Amino acid sequence: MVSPGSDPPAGDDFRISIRDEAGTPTVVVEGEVDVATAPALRDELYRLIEQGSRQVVVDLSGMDFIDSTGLGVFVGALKRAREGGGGIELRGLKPSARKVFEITGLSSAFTIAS
Amino acid sequence: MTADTSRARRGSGRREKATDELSTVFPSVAPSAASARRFVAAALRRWGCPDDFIELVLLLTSELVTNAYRHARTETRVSVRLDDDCTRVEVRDVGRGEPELRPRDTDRVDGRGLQIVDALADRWGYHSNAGGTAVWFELVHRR
Repeated sequence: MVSPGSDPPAGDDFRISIRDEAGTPTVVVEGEVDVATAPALRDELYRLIEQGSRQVVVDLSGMDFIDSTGLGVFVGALKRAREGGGGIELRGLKPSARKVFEITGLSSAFTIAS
Repeated sequence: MTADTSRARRGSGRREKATDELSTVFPSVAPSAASARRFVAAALRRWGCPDDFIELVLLLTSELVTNAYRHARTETRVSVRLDDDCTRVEVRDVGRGEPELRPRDTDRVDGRGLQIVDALADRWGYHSNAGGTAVWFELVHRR
C-alpha cells in the first residue's frame, strides 16, 4: 500500500506486461485494478483470447488492489475464453484479493493457483 | 486533494466521545476512485487504524465511489468519520437514483459492488432526496 506522504497520481503504479511461458501467455498485472485501470486490462485479455490463446495465465502477485470493476474484467474474459474452449488461470492472488473473489462466489469459476 | 476539505473534532453525547471527520469532493472522473481511496487511507492512518482494517474500508469506499461515477455522473463528496465504536464512510453525489443490490450471478460482468459492501460492512444504507443520493457504510472499529 502507498503511504500518504508519497501518493502518486491515480493509476501511475498500474502496469500490465506479457510473458510467454512455453506457448502460454502470462499476463502480469501490477498495481491497482479499479474503474480507471480495468479497461486496459480488459483490452489486453480480450486481445490475447482473440488471437487464439486458449489458456491465459494471469500473474496477480503484484496486484495491490482489486474491486468489483476489476472482477468484472476477469468474468468477461473468462466468458470469452470459455467460448473458445479455453479458460483463465489466476496465480499469486494476495489474501485480500482472494477474499474479493470468494465473497462474490467467483473463486470456483476460475482456476486459482497459489 | 481539493481545497474543500473540512475537519471537525467534537465531543458528542453525554459521555466523552471523540469523533474525527474529514470530507472532500472528487470530480466525476474514473481516477477519483483511487484518489478517494488515498484520501480515506490517509485519514485512517493518521487516526491510527491498522492496515488490514484500512484495506477493508478502501475496498468498500472504492465500490461506492465507482457506483457514483458510473451511475450519477456528478461530483462526489466523500466523508470519513471515526468515533470510538466504528468507522463510517459516506459517498454523496448530486444525481438522482438509488443503489440497487443485485442477486449473485457469476456470469455478469458488473453489479457486484453492493454485494461486496453488503457482505463486508457491518451496516450500510442510503438516503436520497432532491439534492442527491448518499450511500454509506459502517465498520465496527478496531484500533
